[in-house]
Amino acid sequence: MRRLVGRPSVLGLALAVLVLLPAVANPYLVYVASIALLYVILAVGLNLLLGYAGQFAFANAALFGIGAYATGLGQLKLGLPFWIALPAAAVFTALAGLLVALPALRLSGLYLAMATMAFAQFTQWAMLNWESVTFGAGGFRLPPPSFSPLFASSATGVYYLTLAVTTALVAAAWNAVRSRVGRALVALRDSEVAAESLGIGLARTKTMAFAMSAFYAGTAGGLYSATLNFVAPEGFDLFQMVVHFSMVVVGGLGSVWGAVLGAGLLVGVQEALRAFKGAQEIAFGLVLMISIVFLPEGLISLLRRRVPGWDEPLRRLGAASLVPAEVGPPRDGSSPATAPGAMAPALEVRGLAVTFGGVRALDGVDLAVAAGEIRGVIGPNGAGKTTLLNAICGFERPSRGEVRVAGKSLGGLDPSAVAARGLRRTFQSTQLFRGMTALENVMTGRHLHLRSGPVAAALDRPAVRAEEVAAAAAARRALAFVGMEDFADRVATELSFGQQRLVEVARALVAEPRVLLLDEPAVGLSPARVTQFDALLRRIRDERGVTIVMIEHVIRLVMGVSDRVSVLDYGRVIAEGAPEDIRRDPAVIEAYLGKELDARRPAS
Amino acid sequence: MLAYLIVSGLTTGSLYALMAIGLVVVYKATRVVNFAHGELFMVGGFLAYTLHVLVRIPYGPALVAAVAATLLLGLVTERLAYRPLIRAPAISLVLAAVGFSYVLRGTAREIWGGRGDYIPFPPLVGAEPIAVGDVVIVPQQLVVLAGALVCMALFGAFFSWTRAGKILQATAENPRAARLVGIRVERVYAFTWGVGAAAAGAAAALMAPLTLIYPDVGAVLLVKAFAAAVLGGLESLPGAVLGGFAIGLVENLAGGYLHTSLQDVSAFVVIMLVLVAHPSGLLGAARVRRI
Amino acid sequence: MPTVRRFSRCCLLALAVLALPAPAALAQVPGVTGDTILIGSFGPLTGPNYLFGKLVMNGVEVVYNEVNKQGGVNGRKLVLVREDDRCDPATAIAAVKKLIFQDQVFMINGGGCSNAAIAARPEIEQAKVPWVVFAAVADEVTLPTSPYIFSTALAASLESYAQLDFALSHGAKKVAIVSQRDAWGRSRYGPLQEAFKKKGIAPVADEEMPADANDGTAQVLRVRQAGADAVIMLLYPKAAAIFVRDAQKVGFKPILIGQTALSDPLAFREQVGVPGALDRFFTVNQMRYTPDDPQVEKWRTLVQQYFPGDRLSVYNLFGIGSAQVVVEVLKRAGRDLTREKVRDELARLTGFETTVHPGPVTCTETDHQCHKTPAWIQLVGDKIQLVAVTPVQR
Repeated sequence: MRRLVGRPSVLGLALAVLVLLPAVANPYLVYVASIALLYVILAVGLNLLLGYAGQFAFANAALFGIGAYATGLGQLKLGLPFWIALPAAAVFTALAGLLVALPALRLSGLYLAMATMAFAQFTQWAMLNWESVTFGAGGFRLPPPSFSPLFASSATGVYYLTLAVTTALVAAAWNAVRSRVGRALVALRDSEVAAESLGIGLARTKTMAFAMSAFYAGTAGGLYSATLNFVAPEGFDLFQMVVHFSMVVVGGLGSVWGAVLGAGLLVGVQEALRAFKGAQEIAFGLVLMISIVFLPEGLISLLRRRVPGWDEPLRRLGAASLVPAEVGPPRDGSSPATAPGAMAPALEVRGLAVTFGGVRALDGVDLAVAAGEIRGVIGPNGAGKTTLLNAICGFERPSRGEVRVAGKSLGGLDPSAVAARGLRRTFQSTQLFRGMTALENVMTGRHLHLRSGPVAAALDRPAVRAEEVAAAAAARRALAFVGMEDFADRVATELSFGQQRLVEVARALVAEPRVLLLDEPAVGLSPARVTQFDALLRRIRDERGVTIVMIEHVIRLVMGVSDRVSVLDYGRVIAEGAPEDIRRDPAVIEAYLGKELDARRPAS
Repeated sequence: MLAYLIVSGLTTGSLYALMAIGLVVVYKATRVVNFAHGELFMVGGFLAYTLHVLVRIPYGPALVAAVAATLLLGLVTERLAYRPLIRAPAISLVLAAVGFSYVLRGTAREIWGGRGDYIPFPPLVGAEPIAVGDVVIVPQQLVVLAGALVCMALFGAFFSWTRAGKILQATAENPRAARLVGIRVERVYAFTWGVGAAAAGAAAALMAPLTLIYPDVGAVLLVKAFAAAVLGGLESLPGAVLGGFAIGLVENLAGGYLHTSLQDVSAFVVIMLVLVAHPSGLLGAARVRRI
Repeated sequence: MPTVRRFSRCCLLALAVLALPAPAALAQVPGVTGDTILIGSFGPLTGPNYLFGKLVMNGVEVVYNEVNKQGGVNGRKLVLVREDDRCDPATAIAAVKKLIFQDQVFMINGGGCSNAAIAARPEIEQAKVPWVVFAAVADEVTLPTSPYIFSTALAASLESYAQLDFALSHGAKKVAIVSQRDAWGRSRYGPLQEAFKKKGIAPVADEEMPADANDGTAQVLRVRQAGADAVIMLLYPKAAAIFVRDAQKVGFKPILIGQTALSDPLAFREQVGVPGALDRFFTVNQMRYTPDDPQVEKWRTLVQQYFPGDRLSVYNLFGIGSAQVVVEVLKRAGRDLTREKVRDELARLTGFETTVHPGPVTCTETDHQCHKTPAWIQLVGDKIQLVAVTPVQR
């Protein structure tokens, strides 16, 4: 609980008021507070999915309903006591959430919204039509759960139960987002390709996000059924979704405390607007519009401005820690180039071909990069260089050929699995996670070295904390290696283009990869920066023993630092050798400059 | 029976199509779905009713005035709920529009809510059903069908063949680049929202005799229209029409041959299946992940 | 150290909160002062079902205003406190709790949506507040009978039984049902199926339509295929209008039987929009008159006066009738007003004629569904004709 408290007195005050409420307030206010608390659970859960993971899903109200129905029917039809029905329903709803995750694996944006809307409509239909199970449109009544001898009134008991569960689930979410799990979700939202390149499995992470969010919705639903003692299809339709979304957006997307604020305030505002009677709709609409337009980042941004350091959910450690350089092996067992078997080429490509429709982007590429080598890859635009990189890393499916890393074939693996074999890459358009600081970005690079799952993270176990400390230390070292240690706590969007590129390199390096693939890393860098980059690449190779494959157009850099250079044109390797030889190779000159000018030497 | 179901599937589908076209027009130029579209439609309907039935202005001028008023309302929506949020995440735009829709709905309920539960509106052509071969149609349904196809053709021609249409699409693809080449992006957005809203107003005038006018008429139609637009591929006008027809047909055929209790949900099941097979909708362009 | 400081701050705060005055002790008789009586009402004021809340409450308010103009009831003016429940169970419970514990009303005259009313029922029962239901029709609202809960609306089951009786008594042999699958529709559908069973027959077709349907062809075709000669419509006006229009389209003209949601045939005819469509349409009216009847001219004027822009509707009439019952009972309870007295007066209200109910309003100790007399009406030419006014038994 200590970690929960960012501003102890405010939180303590709030909790004290909530604990004392039934003693001082009338039953109407206690009821409103009950509802507000379980909406907090809903909002926090939805925020994990929408704000953190960036999944535009419209199924939350339906899952809320599934939780309510499951809890009620568990008691009525299966004879379970309330204490068992509630957690069972939450788990059941989490499983239903997995169903909702399925369309998310193929769809995104408004298309995912539509697919999840369809799920919601189907759930409504089932609630209305599957009368033998759900009792149909008229719903069903539940006996109020008994809390004697603790509380005489069921309503009071339910209130305290809701308060306890809400506190626990908010704390769990707070802990989870400040760990590997939280970073994985944000990575998923901000750049799927970068996430995959770091070993974060898209399907796995999406499914986890949906399941977590559904678990929260289901718990809220169960508590809802106990607060109303009545379950009916109303309250779980698409129009309820608007309320759910409003809470999250008005409070602040991507912020646990934002969701708490948003839920509390929205329920409060809805009750306060009762005074408007029939004009409530207008008032509510205005409140919604005004709060979104004037505070597009949510109410939490107000707090952020006033109180620096408040709610930085992904940041866990303020100061640098003094943990010694600990080089733990990544989970899959692959290790840097100093491992036995280093005789085999670090990276080998045989006969790789990739076709897009009728176009042969790669037409049988052969490449062998020795361990510890720096290989430059050059070629005119459209030669297939980036396609080659993508195909190696698993982002494109080759039509023929194979890729081997340290002698073992990759065989059509997903990018996240390829990453687990020790490959890391950077991107032509820098793919930093915009919602994270430089440090958090690099810490995400350690994803495969960490083990904590959502439950362990939620419980804030000592092992998780230790992992985080180690990961932060490794990240700081990586940032220092590229010279960006002073920018560790800057949000990615605040960095200049060149700085972003360096952080991306650090993020790739922190995982101690076997092979580092760089896609035009020097684009847009000033000549001074290019020289620094040259030195950096050499250090990466010399001090870390990483094999480097670099696509580049900046000739000075490529020719200066590469041990060997491969030249691509029309999807094939047309020349390969030492930089000086490549410079003079007629085929290369022709490819770049055309036949008529082959008498001239390219400027160096 | 089949002929009837198909015909009524197409006529109901054209209701959805006509609304979906308005959504797609705005989306094509701004990459945003206007979730207040249903209420713009509803307000257009009430305005037409007020002008034509209550104030007794003749049909033509009343229609024009209602469309002009909705156009203005569209401009207001753009200024209030869209322009300030251009850089905000998509969900914020959705909710701001939804908030505005609440305002419109509540206002309509306050002003007209006590005039009658479902207000009838006189049709453009006579009310007697006419026979087309074996099948009988209410004439206004033909008007709506024709309206949907005409709108699709007009807007399609606009986007494909006029300079203004190309400008709109360019702005949607890359607003920054558009600004750099001198396109007045704000004007483009305002224009588009105005046109989209005017389309909603016109749709209301055509559809009101069939759907009746009440404050909540837009809400459920919006869900179906959005479904039609997504099903057809959000950037495709023929897709919107195709999507609308598809939903209408599925609803009628499922209701007629399976059971009427399946009518509402059948379309959504089909949409789910189509999206799984074609993640960008029936006629939508496949989205390329550029690295 | 910081932990201790934090803790003591919490303690101080807690003590401060405890020192706040306890919630105001309930007045001697809540909601009653020397010159006012607070009457609470809950129902949908916003959302698609607002007709069952807002318009009914408007009718209630018209009656209260007129009574207040005459000096009120036993020297006290009636004040209506409206709360919106959005037709949603959770919101209804909040509305009712607010009325009872925060606004502290004397009694409740409300309840527009069935599920919302059912959800709120235990609250009202527990608080022992007299409640006169004005529009919610599901049987579960008033059954099992509760000492404090009475209804002036015609219960759904009674209407459903009446519908089947009517169809059969008019010569129908093959009766079909077209219904909405929502709480309102199901509250009528269940008893209707029971009624069929009791008569030993089954519906030849059992179709559904969504309340906001824009097309009824599938329903019409299936019902026609089953050979129905009468169709009982458990539908809101829009769905019913679409069904009737599409039936006319295909030349299908069975006996059409409506219910109280369709009890304004002149408005319904306009909504259908096809001439001759209502020639065989009969419907139940919970009230004696339709809004166009000269007998309710007084109410039309008053509604337009208090709510400019509104037109008198059947929903206003529901409220007017219910409010008249409430006023009567308050009168009979006398100046020395208590909730128990009102409860008792309600339980012995026999043969009370409001100015709008078709028959007498009668409650007994065991039966609190006080409205048992629907009026059957038909549109002939441009006039509403009363076909029958018969009390219904289940």
